[in-house]
Amino acid sequence: MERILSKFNENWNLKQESSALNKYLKNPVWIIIPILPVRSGELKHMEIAKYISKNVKTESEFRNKLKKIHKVFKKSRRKKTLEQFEYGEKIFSASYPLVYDGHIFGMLLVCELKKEISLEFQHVFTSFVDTIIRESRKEIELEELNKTVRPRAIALSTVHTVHRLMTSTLDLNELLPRVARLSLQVIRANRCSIKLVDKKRKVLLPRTTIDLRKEKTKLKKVQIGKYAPGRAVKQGRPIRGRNYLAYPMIDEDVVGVITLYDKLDGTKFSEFDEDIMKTLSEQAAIAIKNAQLFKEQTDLTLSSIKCIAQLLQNRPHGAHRAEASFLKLISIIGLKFNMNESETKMLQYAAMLHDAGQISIPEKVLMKKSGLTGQEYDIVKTHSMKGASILSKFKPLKPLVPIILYHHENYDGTGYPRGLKGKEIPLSARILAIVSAFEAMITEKPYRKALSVNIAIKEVVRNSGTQFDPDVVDIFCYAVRRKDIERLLKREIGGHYEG
Amino acid sequence: MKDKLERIMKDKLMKDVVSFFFQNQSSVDSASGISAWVCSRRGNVQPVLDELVKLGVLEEDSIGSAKGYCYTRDMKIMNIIEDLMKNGKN
Repeated sequence: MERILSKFNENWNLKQESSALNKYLKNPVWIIIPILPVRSGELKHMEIAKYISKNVKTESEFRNKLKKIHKVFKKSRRKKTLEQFEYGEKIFSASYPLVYDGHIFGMLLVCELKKEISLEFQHVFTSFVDTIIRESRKEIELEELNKTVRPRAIALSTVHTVHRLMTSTLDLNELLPRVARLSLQVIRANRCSIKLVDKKRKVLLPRTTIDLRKEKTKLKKVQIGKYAPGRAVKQGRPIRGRNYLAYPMIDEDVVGVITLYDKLDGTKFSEFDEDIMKTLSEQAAIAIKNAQLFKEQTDLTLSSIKCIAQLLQNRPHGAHRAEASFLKLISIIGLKFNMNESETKMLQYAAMLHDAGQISIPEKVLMKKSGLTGQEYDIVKTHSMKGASILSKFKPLKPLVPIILYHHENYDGTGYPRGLKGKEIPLSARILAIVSAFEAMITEKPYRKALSVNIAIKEVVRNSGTQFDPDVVDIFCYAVRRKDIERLLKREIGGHYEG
Repeated sequence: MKDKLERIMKDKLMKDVVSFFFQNQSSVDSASGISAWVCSRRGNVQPVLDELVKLGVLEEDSIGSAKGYCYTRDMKIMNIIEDLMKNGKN
């Protein structure tokens, strides 16, 4: 009731000044009384007493006026209507109860009226007052809403954003530092460490630690059951101390533990922090499991690719080498063209499988020492389409299909199978075209000896703008001359390096 | 830094966004979310967020299409903002 009275006062002061009501009543004196006392004498401690004392000469006159007003107040309160009375000679007053939710929270007294408020105007008067009460009530409801619903909505929005950020990556190396950063942010702590459960060894392996006060942090293994993180995992519940909070990440089983240390403002970790971490750790556990599953699936795909590549290598001269140097070379070129990790990986897979279609080419053609006849060359040219067709049946390898299909297209449009030109050829295929040609040149073939690396590079440069994309050739030349690539090539092709 | 912050907070929207994060320091939100909290259009809020990230008042975490903004953890900046907010200089 106190709140509605104060809100009413705020609105009343603001609105009555400019209201037509004020003008019509010729600027009367408005007095708001919060509670109506049982006895009239108690009114003398209220604002109304100051007004009365200005207009009376004796103490008994003062008391009589108080009694009169108290009586009208009581009547007005009982009937919940506007009551008027003659306060002095040709001076009138009116009393009106202020009602909120059926309860009277105060009385409004209009003093110094030159005449009684007419019956027609009484309705305008009471409607005006009731409207302000309704407005005050709405303001209170809005404030309540702001106080209760808004913080929850903000928290919900945070949970939603954190969820989006966490589930937007399937790479554990990217996900875990992100979880740590978000935990630090939401809890406002100085340090966060994430450890994952190693079930075989029954230990917690440190995966990421961020300390806002230090650049370098130590990553320590922890036995399950020891220290706060170990106990949180063993007991499957949060362990909280003044300066730390270890929260287990559970999704069916315990995945790991997020431990936060030292709040930014120096306060202790609270139950509220635990509540927040409950949501955050649940989201993190799901995201981590997804990332682990994705990694398992990626590993499986990679194993399948390696297996197919191995089978291809076992074919006499039909397969490429797919050595580490070529994979590294291709990855450097891809990164230089701002390819993301997944695109680079696909490019590497394509490098391993780009001649998969040769499986359908007769060995006698592949092994032929002399030049190919036109018909034989036509057969060889089908290998990119056949390779693409074989791989399109394996869903995880579908992104490889255009790379393999177009890796024999020439930049000037003279390649096969479609005769695509320039940027019509996918970038990955343009990269693979150079690296696979380079790889073929430095590998011994039935019809010629292996070329040296230098000669092969010159050959690539010579064909820049015709067979190869000049932009890719530039990057290739930079990448192939890198010390790490040179070292790898020397190790893998040995004597052929210098030619 | 203090001068810079004082200057940028003369802009009402800048001040509203900083006030939002000052009052909700645990919040991590997207540009559209923040637009709702400061009752403004996303198009108007985005450049303000970019500017605040540049100044170090906010941190940005993004991956793919997901982008989240959160309050700085730099105590120096936090103290300056606290002073500005308490003294109501802007």
